[in-house]
Amino acid sequence: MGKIIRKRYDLPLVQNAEDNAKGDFELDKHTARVRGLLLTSDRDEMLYHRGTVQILLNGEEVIPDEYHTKLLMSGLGVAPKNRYLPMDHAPGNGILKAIYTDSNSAVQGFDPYTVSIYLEIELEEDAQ
Amino acid sequence: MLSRQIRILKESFEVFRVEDRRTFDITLPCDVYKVVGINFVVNPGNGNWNKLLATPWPENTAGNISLRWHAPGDVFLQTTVALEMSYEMNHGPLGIVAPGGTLAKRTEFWYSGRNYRPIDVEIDSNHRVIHGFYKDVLNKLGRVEEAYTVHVYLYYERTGQ
Repeated sequence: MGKIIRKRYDLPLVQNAEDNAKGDFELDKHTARVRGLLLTSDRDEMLYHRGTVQILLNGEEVIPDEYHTKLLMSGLGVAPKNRYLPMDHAPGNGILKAIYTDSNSAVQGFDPYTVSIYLEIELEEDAQ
Repeated sequence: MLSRQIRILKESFEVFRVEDRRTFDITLPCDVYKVVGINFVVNPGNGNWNKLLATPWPENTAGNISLRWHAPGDVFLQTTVALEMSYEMNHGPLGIVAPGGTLAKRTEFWYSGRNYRPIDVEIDSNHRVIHGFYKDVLNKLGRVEEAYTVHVYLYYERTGQ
């Protein structure tokens, strides 16, 4: 098994309520498998109450449209080793695409915030 | 574990009244081999949310759900829909509060996306539709008639991939 690294990818600032934030990211060129996924934010409560996301890897839908981001978050009460959603995906062309959508919530007003995607990546065995 | 074989299907429906009974149908894609997991999301409205905040140990159930194939006897899953917010708030008295957290905006919670409920239901080729039935508890507990949406996520395994 290759070395495991964790990488962070930031989506652009969500500036307005009911706005989208889209990002295309290139994975490490030595990526062998994508092993885990985690979402977090500088304003966790926004992500928890207002967010849905779609994530595509190599053009394939890993997380479908309008998936609640709260299901991809982990909190302080979760053991660090359990925080990533386990996955097993080949990187393909290595392009990660994420579309985040903010929607109005009865319990959480809007403030600008940033969404971060963390990936747990297994590198090729001969990668340094 | 999410992989190329596992896909996620989402179905949403709205609940309005106290003890409201809703039926819904989930049409399965043609490549479904079996359903491996299920997850629910319920976002309470303002009225219910305020009641939850005011309750030290709130109830944990938003409603009851059952999934079946054809006739009422064909039920393959009966379960409660957990109100995840109450897990979050149950943590408060233990003193685990995120930096900067306040009562209304606490950000800690102990569940994560890993723990969707595993179920293992093979799909017969005759079955392309799952019939669902949901009965409200949240509005009954809150004693308000407030619309909220229940989101059902099915995690399914694909055939021949």
